[in-house]
Amino acid sequence: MKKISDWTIQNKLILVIAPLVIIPLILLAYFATSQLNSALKTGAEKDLDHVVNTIHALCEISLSLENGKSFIPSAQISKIREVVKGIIIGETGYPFVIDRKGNLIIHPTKEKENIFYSQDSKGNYFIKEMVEKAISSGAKNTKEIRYPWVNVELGEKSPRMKITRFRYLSQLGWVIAAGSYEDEIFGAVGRTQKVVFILTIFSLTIVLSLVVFFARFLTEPILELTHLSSRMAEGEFSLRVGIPQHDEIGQLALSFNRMAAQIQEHTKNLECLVNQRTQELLESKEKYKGISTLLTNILESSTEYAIIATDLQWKVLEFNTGARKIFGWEKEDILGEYLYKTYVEKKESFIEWEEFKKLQAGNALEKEVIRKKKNGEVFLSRAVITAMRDMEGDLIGYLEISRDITERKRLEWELIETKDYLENILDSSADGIITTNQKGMITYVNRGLEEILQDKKERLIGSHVSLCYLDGIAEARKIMNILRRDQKFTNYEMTMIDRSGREIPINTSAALLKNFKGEIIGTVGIFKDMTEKKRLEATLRKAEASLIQSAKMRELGDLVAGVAHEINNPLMASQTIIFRLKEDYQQQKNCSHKKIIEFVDLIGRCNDRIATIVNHLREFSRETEMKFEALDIRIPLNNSLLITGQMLLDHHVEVTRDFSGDLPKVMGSAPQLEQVFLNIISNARDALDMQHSDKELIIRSFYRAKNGTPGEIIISFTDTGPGIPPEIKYKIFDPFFSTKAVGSGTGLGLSLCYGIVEKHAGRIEVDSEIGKGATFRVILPAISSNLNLNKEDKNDKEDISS
Amino acid sequence: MTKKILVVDDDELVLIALEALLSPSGYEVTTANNGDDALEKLNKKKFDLMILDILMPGMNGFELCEKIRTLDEYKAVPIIMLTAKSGSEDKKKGMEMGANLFLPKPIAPQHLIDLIKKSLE
Repeated sequence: MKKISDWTIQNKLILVIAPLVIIPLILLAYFATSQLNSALKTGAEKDLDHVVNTIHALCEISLSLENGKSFIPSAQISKIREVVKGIIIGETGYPFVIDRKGNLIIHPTKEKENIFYSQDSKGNYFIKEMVEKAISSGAKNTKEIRYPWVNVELGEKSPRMKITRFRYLSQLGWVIAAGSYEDEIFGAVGRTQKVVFILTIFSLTIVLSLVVFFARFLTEPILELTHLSSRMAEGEFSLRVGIPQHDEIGQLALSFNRMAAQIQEHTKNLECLVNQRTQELLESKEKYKGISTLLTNILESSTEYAIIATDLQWKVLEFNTGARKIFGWEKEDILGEYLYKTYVEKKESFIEWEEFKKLQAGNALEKEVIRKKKNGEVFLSRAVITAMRDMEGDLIGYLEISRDITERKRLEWELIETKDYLENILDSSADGIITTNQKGMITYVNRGLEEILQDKKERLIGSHVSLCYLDGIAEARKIMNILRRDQKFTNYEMTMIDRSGREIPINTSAALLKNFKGEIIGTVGIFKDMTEKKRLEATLRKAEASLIQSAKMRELGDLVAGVAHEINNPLMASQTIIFRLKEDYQQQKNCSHKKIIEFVDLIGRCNDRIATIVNHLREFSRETEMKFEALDIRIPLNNSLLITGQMLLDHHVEVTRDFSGDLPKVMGSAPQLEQVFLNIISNARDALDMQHSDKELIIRSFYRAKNGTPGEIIISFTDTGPGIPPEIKYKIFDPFFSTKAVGSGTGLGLSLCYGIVEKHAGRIEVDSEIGKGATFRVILPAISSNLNLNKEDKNDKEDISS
Repeated sequence: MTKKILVVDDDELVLIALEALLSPSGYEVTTANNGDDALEKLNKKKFDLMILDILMPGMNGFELCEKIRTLDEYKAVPIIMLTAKSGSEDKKKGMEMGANLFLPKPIAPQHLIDLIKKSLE
């Protein structure tokens, strides 16, 4: 259904004018018809009343009174009957008179019949109704009944409405009535109505036609204009309106035609221009298509860089692959959104006023700033923002190129941290560290070196490293030669010199510095200041010597008992012999010469024995010197057993000796090695003392060949004691570690042994299992693998005896 | 009747010296340089007195003394322990094992002779 506003002007006119004309016309027709109708109807009723009243009056006049009773004489009745019968109302209407009992007094055809109970076509007793109504209403007024009636006499089949007006004649009890068919009465009315209706329709048709024509007349030129203008809009500029009027529409048509002519002219020009421009455009389009594709490719293939274009309100216009990847926004989601959504700051502050002004002034804005991804994750971005301008130089938006530098920043920090960390490590080293370039120029020194040379980094860096060496360039060359050959070295002893000329003993380790490609870029050296160490070493050597001495004295104390026994035997023997000799001599007994010689020899042997022991004791207690000489290991071994033999016996320790007779010599100090053996033996004795039986000590010495070296001499001491618990095994060489009761051992024994053996370039090993005893092995390097057969030591297998 | 004395010591010098001391004094001296040797010799002869060293390889003086005392004929024979060990502990132990005398080395020869003589009475 179209809205009224969309109707054509013609229809709108019809809509307005038609009711204005039609409604009064219809109202007029209606009014006229109803007036006519009512007039006619009233007229017909009055006609009937008039007939009734006339007959009524006629009867009243004819009334005669006899015996107080009213009556109409028969002659009079006949005359009245004649008059009444002569009245015809309409076509078939007639008057009649009936008494109150229904007997027809006067009737055109049914005189003297009783019709009281006759029925109309609906079955009503209409006569009865009429009579009752007449009696009840009195004689003064006429009344009316209407009923459908089929006039059989006239051959009618369908009922017609009949109107009967009546009046009561009370003196005689008569009802005077006049009836007629409605259609006969209102026939004129119906005809008039028909005429009025036809006239009305006729008028309506004419009026409507006029209205439509008028509307047409008014809107026709407008319609034409409309039609033409729409065709013109489609490009038919040659069309003109042909309206001969001179009213407003005529003027409009003229203007329209002028305008059309102008448009036609302009369009022609425009078309030429457009064609020309189109041609130009096509050419430039071709020309720039390549560049455009290239730019788009660049924009989209840049995955590392976010490229974002915005308008002046910072609303995103372009969001390339890199931006999508970095910020996590989909292009369609971010387009049209504000750029500050990718910032942590609020809308008002994500670009500072100063920055904004800088942008406006045409400068690029570079900033490292925290940014926000779509999922809220933040990261560090480095962004360059520039203002975008059109050809005229007007600001049209902003362009941001940025990248995620979180990882780079983290690496930078890590690098700085690592550098600081390494420098801290280097600086916290008391040893001096120098790096040089290939020319020997110092490129780095640490704090340690500053302290060693009492100098400043700033002065050292850049100078030649040989300035720090006592032997100068010669030393530098020497070091470089070793490095070229071996790549690196350690424990190189040299001397440095500081600016004041102080000489510093140094232990150096150095290596070639290479870059990640393996190219030599310089050297690194670690310089350990040995001044203090050298001093300490000297002190330590003294302390160690005195320690060994004191330990020896303690051992001596332990040995006194054994040694006393050792001496007491020959002492007693010699005393006894001397007593015997003296006795014999005094008593002049048969004391042969031979016997005396024998006794004196015996005394001599006793003295020798004592002398050996005393000598050895003196030797043992002498201040320990590190006097190394080629040594048969059995000498210190036998000596240690000489001192301890008696003691071991005393402790019921059964000693088995298994010494190879032809061992290579070792380089060493006999008293010191003897000290080692004494210590191990006395520890074995202590261990064996923890049990009551099965006290055995097996001492073996043998040679073991070793590839590429002169081999080793091994002296092993195996006891059958309780063994060393594994948890203390590694501690037994520690100074002051002792398993013995407080006061009975210093705990220095094995640690001294260890030191002594180390000085002999040897080592001590220990094997032990709980419950199965322990084996200590002193391993010393042999001087040569040539086997020496020392024939002087035939006493090897001699048992230890008291 | 000549009294028979057994001297047990692992030191040859001591054995020679004691034999030289005691033989001229009228004793028949037998020497043994270890415990087993001594026990063997005890079986062959009946000795009247024994001088025992303590520190000997193998069987020591205490053990030897204990063993000797188990032999019926030596239950009351005087045993002198002659030793460089002079601690009171050792002396006590020696007495427990059945020694009669516990003498230190060295001892004056005359004194030893006197004590032997006294022991044999």
